[in-house]
Amino acid sequence: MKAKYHVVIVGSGMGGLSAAATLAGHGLDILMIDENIQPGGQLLRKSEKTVKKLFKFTPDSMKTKGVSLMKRIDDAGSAIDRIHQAQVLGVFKDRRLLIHKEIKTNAADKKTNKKPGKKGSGQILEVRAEHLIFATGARERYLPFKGWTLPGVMSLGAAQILMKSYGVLPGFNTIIAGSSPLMMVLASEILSNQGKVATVLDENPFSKNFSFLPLIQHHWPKLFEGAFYTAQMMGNRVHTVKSARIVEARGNTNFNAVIMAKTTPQGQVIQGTETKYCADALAIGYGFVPNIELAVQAGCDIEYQKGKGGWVVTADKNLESSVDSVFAVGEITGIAGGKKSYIQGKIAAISILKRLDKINLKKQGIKISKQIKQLHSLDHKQIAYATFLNHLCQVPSNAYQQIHDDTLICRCENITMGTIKKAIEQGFTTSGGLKKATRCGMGRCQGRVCGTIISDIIMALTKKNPYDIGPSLSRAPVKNVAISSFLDQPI
Amino acid sequence: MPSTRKNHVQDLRISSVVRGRQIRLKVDGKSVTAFEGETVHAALTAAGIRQLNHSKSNSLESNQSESNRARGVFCGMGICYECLVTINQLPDQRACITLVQDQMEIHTHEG
Repeated sequence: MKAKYHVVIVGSGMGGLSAAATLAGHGLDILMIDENIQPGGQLLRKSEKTVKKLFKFTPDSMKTKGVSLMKRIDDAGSAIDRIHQAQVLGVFKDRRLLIHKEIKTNAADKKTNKKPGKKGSGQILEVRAEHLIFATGARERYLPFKGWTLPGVMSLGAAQILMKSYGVLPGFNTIIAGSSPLMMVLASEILSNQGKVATVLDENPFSKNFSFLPLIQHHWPKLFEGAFYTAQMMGNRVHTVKSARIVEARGNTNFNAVIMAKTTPQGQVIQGTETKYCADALAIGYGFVPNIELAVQAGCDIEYQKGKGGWVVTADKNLESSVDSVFAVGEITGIAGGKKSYIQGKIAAISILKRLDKINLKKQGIKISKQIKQLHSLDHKQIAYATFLNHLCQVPSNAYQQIHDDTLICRCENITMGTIKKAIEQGFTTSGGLKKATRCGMGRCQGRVCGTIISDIIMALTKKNPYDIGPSLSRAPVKNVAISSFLDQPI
Repeated sequence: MPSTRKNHVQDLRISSVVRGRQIRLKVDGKSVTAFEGETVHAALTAAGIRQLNHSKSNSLESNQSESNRARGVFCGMGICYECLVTINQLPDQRACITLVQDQMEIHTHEG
């Protein structure tokens, strides 16, 4: 670890990896920080061990690309410093980063060190970045229903991680629900690994799929992917219900059943259509939300773009944010998946190399500008496809109006829809105001789960525009850290 | 789990997966089998343990009924903090992003 780096990259998913691989080999000091155990982000969760399918179907060439990126970074060896299981707590003046590195205790340590919270609680590091790249990715979006806090109810991502990274099925029998394109991917993965899918409950009506038609020209492989999944569902006799919404998840201490109801094309629940499905796991997802918290804390301007997943970091064509020498790539500039992240990581890296005179523009000028032009055009194509996907995931606004008063919205602080509705009626119609009035979004996750849900609820109930509601603010530390981490510093 | 389906799994661990060394964990005093390379989340899911924590105890009358209710892994990627467990006496560790180690002592419900 050095005290100063030419480039610090936060996040080692597709965007971070592609930036690092492009920057490598130019004699720069580079640091890559990630919260996960391994690099690769959500897309590149190691799958080589788990996949033993009869028919190997790999629609996503980005995964192959990602694996080769990781290899390139490994080959670059000591040129790229990497820290894992670490969080950036904040970015301060002159791009000084405060980093929390988790230190996991092991059994051997425990015997010699009985004091809890002393050793093993973590270490605080400070580094200075000449250039900073945020590639902090995205998380899932949810539509709350009664019982969504029961153990056994999980995000689509959680179920995928269990299978792809650790070879464990999410349940003996899994119900998949929501509006996300990941639903079909997860169903396919479960079926390919001898698991069982009880049913797929799709929030979307069948007609919504047709908005894809104008894009077929550029994205025809996606059609085959869709057709493959559909065939697999039919082959395994998986019951799929369209225009279906979960109204309740049931169970005592563990989830064991859902109550589903059909909805009208406008998204209203049709009374009398309630049906019960039993299973031991429920995986849900309603699209994605960019992880902009760190960028917001660092002072980057953000903008609201519905087709990009909500609040995104504003970036120019070099992907520099409103803060000098701070770049934003991948999902945080708009939800669009791994390919766009890969392209944007490259664009940001080339922008930095140009600025540091590491690219000889006299010699390579034409080649580089041609490459940049190609990258920008690819970027636009990906964004067009993503707009379709984000539109597909969008839950109709009256779905929020129909959330039952008993439903928990803020899981950390146990704040119900009823409490939120009452506060909105009293005039707390901004994210910040509602938070102060009810404590929603003040818990451990700091609004990462409920923040978007709450602004969608305010939007649905008041018809206010997102700029008047505002995003939730982020302050350092943007991730939870134990006080003891600051106390137990080696001198 | 009852099922008559052919090839139906008896265990949530997918049989075709190559795993690390078999190790033992102690979960709330009970011995649990795990494999190196798994997260605490994966090992506990395979062992049928889903309830890892409970919701906050509320003093407000309006949401008393939601106090101390069972919670488990939700996001699975370190964002939601629903899967906090005590590991080797260190409280509030995220089960979803912590790897298992031989003889690891895990206590649930302590968050």
